[in-house]
Amino acid sequence: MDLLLVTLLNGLSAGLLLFMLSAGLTLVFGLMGVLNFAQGGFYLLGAYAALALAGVLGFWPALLLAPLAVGAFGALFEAAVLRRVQRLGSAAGPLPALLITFGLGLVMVEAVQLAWGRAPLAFEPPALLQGPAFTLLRAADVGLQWLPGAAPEALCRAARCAQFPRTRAFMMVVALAMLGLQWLLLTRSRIGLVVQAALTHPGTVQALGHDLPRLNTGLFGAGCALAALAGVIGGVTFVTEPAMAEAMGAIVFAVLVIGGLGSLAGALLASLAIGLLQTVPLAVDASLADLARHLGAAVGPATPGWPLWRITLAQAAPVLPYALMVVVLVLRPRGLLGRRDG
Amino acid sequence: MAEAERRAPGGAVPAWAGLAALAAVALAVPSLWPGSFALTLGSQVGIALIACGACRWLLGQGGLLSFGQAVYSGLGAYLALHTLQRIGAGALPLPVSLVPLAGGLGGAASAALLGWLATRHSGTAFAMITLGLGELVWALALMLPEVFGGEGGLAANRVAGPAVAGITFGPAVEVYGLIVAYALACTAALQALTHTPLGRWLSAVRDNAARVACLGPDPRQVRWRAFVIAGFFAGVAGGLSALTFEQVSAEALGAPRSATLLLFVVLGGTGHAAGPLIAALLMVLAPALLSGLTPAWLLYLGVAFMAMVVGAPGGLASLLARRTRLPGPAGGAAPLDKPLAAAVLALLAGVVALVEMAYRLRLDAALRPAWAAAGQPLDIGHPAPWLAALTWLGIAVGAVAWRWRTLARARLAWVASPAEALPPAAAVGDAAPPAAAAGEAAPMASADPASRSPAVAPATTRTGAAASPAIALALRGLHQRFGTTTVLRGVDLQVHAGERLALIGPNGAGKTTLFNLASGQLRPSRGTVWLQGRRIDGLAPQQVRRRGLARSFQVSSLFPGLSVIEHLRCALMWDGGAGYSAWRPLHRLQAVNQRADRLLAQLQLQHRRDVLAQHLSHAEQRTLEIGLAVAGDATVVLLDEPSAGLSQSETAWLIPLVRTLTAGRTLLLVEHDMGVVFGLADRVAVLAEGRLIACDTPAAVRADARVQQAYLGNLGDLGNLGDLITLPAQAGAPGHG
Repeated sequence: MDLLLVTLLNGLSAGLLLFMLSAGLTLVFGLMGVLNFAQGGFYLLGAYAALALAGVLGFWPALLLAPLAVGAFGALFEAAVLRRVQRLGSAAGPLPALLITFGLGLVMVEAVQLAWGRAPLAFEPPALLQGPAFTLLRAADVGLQWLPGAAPEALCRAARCAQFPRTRAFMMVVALAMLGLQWLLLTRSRIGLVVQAALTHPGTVQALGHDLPRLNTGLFGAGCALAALAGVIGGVTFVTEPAMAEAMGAIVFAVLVIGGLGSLAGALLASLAIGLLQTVPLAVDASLADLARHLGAAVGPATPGWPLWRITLAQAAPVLPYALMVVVLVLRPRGLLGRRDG
Repeated sequence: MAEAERRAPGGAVPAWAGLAALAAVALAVPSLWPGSFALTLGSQVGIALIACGACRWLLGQGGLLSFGQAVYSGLGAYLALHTLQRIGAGALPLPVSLVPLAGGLGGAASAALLGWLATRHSGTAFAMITLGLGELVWALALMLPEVFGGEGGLAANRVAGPAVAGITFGPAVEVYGLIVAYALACTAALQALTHTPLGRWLSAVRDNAARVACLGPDPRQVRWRAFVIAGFFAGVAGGLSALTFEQVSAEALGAPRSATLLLFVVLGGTGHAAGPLIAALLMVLAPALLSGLTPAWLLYLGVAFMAMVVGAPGGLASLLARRTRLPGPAGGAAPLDKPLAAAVLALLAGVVALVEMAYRLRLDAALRPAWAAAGQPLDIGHPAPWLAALTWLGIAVGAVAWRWRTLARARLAWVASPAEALPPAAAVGDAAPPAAAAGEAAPMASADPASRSPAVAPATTRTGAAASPAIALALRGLHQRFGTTTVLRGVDLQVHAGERLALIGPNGAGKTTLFNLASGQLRPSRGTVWLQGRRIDGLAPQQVRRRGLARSFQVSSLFPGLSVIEHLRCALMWDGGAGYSAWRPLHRLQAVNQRADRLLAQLQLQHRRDVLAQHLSHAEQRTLEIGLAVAGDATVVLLDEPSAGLSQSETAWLIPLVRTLTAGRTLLLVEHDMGVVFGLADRVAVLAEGRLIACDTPAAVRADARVQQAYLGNLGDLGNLGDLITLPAQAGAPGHG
């Protein structure tokens, strides 16, 4: 039980991190009809920019400055390149915008590899974020106990301990703060009102005198900054390497497809579902064959399709998000909460 | 005409000549460059040519951006390898030369399965789903080492089974020959595919999928079939590579492989037949040539890719074909601006200098190659070269921005000047219909009552003769709600076979909604729709079209990238029995082509025959829009405001044409122009606030108190002043009072 609780929290934090990436994508897609295929690249750039800045300024200024710098770069890209491509390709549909962001993603990954090399780098979290946030303790006599911080080693030797790392807790705090901030901005601020109006009636918004291109630039930059912030946190929590862009990019698209293109609530739902799906099965070391045996069926290496039977849930974890995508696509082609088709 | 069909698009060179040249070069390679290196490169180019051709078919012809093409070539390669293993074990009596076809079947089968999910969507969603499916297959491949051989992959010996005609495929040159044969055959097949009904539907679906549904085919079916075909050719390429390298690993399925393919296909160009060849050459030669020069070559390639997407969306092929398309008002050819090109080159030089210095800074000082510039050794540990490079870059950026802005301003001025604003072609097009119209329209315009009475006369006899006329289209109790707004509140309408019924009503009355319900764009909230006695509500637009109901749209809904004649052929192709055929060449559909040419003449668009729809004038687009609806054998034709946005003279020309083209068929039209309504219709139905308030002969409707109330009632909000003014004027016209 204790382990499951920590696993669930791990899954939730991963899901919230995914949402930081998918929220920006969803808003930009809703407003501009452009899916930023380079989102994984911005995530990567955020991690490496923070790594470089942290060496000079320390972690906390880097946490703030790296996303801002990456967001400014994203806004510049939108204003200088993406807008031009979109105007060019109004007859060609979404293809030019997809291709140009795909190209940007490639270039960013290559540039990062050129500047920092291909090997994973050590991105140490600051002292405040090191160690466990709390420990769950199960001793035979006292039941479940909750201890803030790390538990004394002697205790853990006697009982079973499950630790929840501080970086994960920090990830949840930042993601929830960003979620709250987005919600406030969208529903309570003037800009949010304009964005909401522009989601459905861009022409009218422009006719009312709002500078829609500037809004697009700002929103695109904000989406990139959010991805970069996720990158900084992902970098200190997981590992900082060039491959993180591709791994994260593909998962985020699965999130969008599952949640439904253009639906913020769908993106949140799908992010959490995938976050859980990525982490919880890792703790389950049982296969279909085990299940069948448990139910009384005789399954062994001679059974047809044995390679499928013997795969444990933990081994299958990388496939599960995409399997969920397939299931959703079969049952609800437009995603869980999707209305529009890209 | 047939000859024109066979020509490569945009090129003066016939497709067969290009293929023959390619074959000659390919066969000359072994004798010109003896040795295994040229053969290896040649083999890889051949394989890449097939893979790039398949990708171009999807992307260029269909606008389908597949981020997972490697999946299908990879799965094809695996199936080919398994086949090879079985042949080697003596379990399968198959000549090795057919192993690539096994790969093709593997690719097609996997594309059929996965494409069933992906092709429900197009555009962005399609791209994302293909990416996700690619990740799925890749992860699965790693989980199933029994089938995919795990990290190490699978291996087999290609010298297997009995040799046919002494060819064992042991020597590399024999495999090279096989690859050349397959590459030529596949390229020819892919080229031919673009000139089949399926290829034409695919382009149409790329441009406007919803409109294709109104012409008969199911857009999803079109996409799915195209995807399976692309999967087949990708699989053939995979099978050939399995045969060449005698091993496959999971890497062949991965996203990086798909991304590389896409990168080169776009660089090569998707709009031109030579694109895949350029792409294949680059794909094989670029790593060999560039990786020796600089470690940052992938970065440069990425930047070149981005520059291509921005500056020359047609890719290298179209650049070479001198069809440079810079963004301009007409979208046509714009000459290369030399100052801009120079500035861009300077910018690139600056970027390259910085990238190279940055990379060398990362290397150990001892490993750093000694650089010299102008006799002086260059010390990149020193800030001076960096400052120089950055200054250079800044100046170059400024120059590009300045030149771009100057050009943009010049373009704006060009658009604004009225004398030049109208492209000459458009001017001719604008003039033609009214000029032609003058002759035909004259009787109607000048001798209005005289010309109209014959139109009314047959109508009365028709309705009079048939005591219980057959019902072509029946709407029963139709309700339609959008959220909380109720648009239709129980509409019952029967359109008799062969009659012309006009649907009028104030704005917002629900006329277009009613059309959308009848033609399958919408599913009614309540009520039923019957076509020739068969229920059609809830059917998809293409199913409604196949049952014999065609429609036009209020706002012209055309295929911007297809020419006028291609539009008409598309509109006739389904009824002509072409189906989704990927076999029959278009020029063999003689009945369809003849009918299309006849219709073209009737629409008086001959002089615009091969002009793309996006370059037509508004009046021409309206004419073509109506042409799409009346072409084909649909027994019921729905026209939504055929005269929308047309001048009076254009309308006067168009309406007799509509009468001719729909003769003998049932016509239901929405129209605001009361001249058209009362000149064309046998009966008039009036819709107001979601209810049918009258449906009778024009004279009776005009006298109807409720109709007058509906139109006069709108006087208060001034919403339909135009209607109000035309209605009494018509009512008071001589011969109808």
